[in-house]
Amino acid sequence: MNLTRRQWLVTGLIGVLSAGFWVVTLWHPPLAVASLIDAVWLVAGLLAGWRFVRDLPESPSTPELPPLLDSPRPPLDHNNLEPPSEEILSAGLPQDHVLGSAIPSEVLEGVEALRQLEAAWEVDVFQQDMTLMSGNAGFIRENVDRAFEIADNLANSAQHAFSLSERVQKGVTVVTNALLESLKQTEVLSEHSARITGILELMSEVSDKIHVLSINASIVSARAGIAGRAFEVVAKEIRSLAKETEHSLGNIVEVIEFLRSSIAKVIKVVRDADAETEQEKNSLIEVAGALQGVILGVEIVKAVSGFAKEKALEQDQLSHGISERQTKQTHEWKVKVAAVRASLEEWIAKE
Amino acid sequence: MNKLNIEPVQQDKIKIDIVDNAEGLTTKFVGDIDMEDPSILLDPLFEKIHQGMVAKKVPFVVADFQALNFLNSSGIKAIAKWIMKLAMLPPDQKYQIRIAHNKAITWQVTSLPTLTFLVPGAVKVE
Repeated sequence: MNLTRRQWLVTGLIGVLSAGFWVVTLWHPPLAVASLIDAVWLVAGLLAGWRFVRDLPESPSTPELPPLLDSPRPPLDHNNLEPPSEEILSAGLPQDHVLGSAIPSEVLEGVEALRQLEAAWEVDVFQQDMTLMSGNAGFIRENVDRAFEIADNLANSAQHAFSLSERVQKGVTVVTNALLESLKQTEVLSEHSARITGILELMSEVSDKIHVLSINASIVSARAGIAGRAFEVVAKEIRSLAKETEHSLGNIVEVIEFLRSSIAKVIKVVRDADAETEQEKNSLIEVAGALQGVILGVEIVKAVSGFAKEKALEQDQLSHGISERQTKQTHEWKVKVAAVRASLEEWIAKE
Repeated sequence: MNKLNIEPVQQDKIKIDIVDNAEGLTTKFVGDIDMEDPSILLDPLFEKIHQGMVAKKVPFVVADFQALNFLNSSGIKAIAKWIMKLAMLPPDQKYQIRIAHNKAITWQVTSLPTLTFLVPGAVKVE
C-alpha cells in the first residue's frame, strides 16, 4: 500500500482510539454488545480515516525529491549551447498547481523569479550599455580622425603659406638687390655728371680766356691801323665764338644741373625703396617664422589627436571584449536557468 | 655629469646638454633640429629623462630652447610625446616642465606656448 507518513499517522491514531475503547469494553461486560458495535465502528472509522487522509493536501514539510535531483542531468556542454526555446520561455505553470495546489509557494516564486530573470536577460541592459559605449568610442575615434584631418589640412595650408612667404622673401631679396644695383649705377651717373660739370667749368675758363685774348687782339689790331684791320675781323669772330661757347656752356651746365638734381632724387627714392624692402623682408621672415610656429602648433594638435585616437581604439576593443565575454556568460546562464526552470515546471506538473 | 647620469647628445647640427640646476635639471638645446627623423635621437633621450625624473623624484626640468634656431614638425612631435607621458602619470608622480624660449625667434613664440595645454599646470613657458 502506497501511503504517505501523514496517512499512516492519522490511520494509526484512529486505530489506537478504537483499540482503547475495545479494552474498556473487556473490563465492563455489560458493554460487550457495545464492543461488537465498536468493532464495526472501528472498521468504519478506519475506512473513513483512510479516505479522509487520502484526500488531505500534501504537507509542505514533506516534499518528495523532484525528478531533477532524483536523476541528475548530464553536465552542460558549454561549447554547444542552445538558447531556451520560446515555448520554454513563455511557458506558464498549470493553473491548478498554482492555485490551491500542494506545491510550496517558495518553489512557485522561484520559478517565477527564474522566468523574470530570463526575460531580463532577453532585454539585456548591460549588453545595450556596452554596445552604446562601444558606439561612443567609435564616434570619438571618428571625430578624432576628423580633427586629425582638419589639423593635417591646416598644417598643409600653413606649409603652403610658408613656402609662399619663402618665395616672396626671395622675390623681395631680388628686388632689394636690383634696387641696390640701381642705386650704385645712379651714384655712378651722379659722379659722371659731377665730372662733366668740372669739364664744363674748365671749358668756361678756356672760353673766358679766348674772349680776353680776342679783346687783346682787337686792341693790338687797332694800334696797327690799316694793317691790322684783317686781324681785327678775325679777333671779332673769335670773340663772337667765345660768347657763343660761353652761352652753350651755360646751357649745358643748366642741363647737367637738372640731371644731377634728378639723379639725386632717384638716389633718394631708391634708398627709401631699399629701406622699405629691407623692412618688408624682415616682416616676411617674421611671417615665415609665425607660419612655422603654426605648423608646429598643428603638429602638437595632431600628436594629441593621435594619442586620443589610440586610447579610443583601446577602449573600443576593451568594450568589445567585455561585451563578447558577457554575451557568452549570459547565454550560458540563460541555458542553465532555463534548464532548471524546465525541470521545476516538469516536477510541478507531475505533482 | 648630471644627477640622472644622462650623457649629452650631439648629432648633425644639434647639441643637447643635460645639466643640474638648483631645483632640478636643465636640458639645453643648441643649433637646428632639421634632420628627417629626429625621433631616433629625441625619443630615447626624453624617455631617459622621464624615467629618471620619476625614479629620482626630481621636481623640475627646464627645457631650454633659447639657442634652438630651427625645429621641424617631427621634432616638436617628439617633444609633445614626452609631455604626454607626463600627462599619463598619477598626480603624486608628476614633475614640472619649464620651457625657456627666445622671444626673438618667431616660431618659438608661436608654437611653444601650445605645449602648456597638454598638461595644464605642469608645463609652463617662461
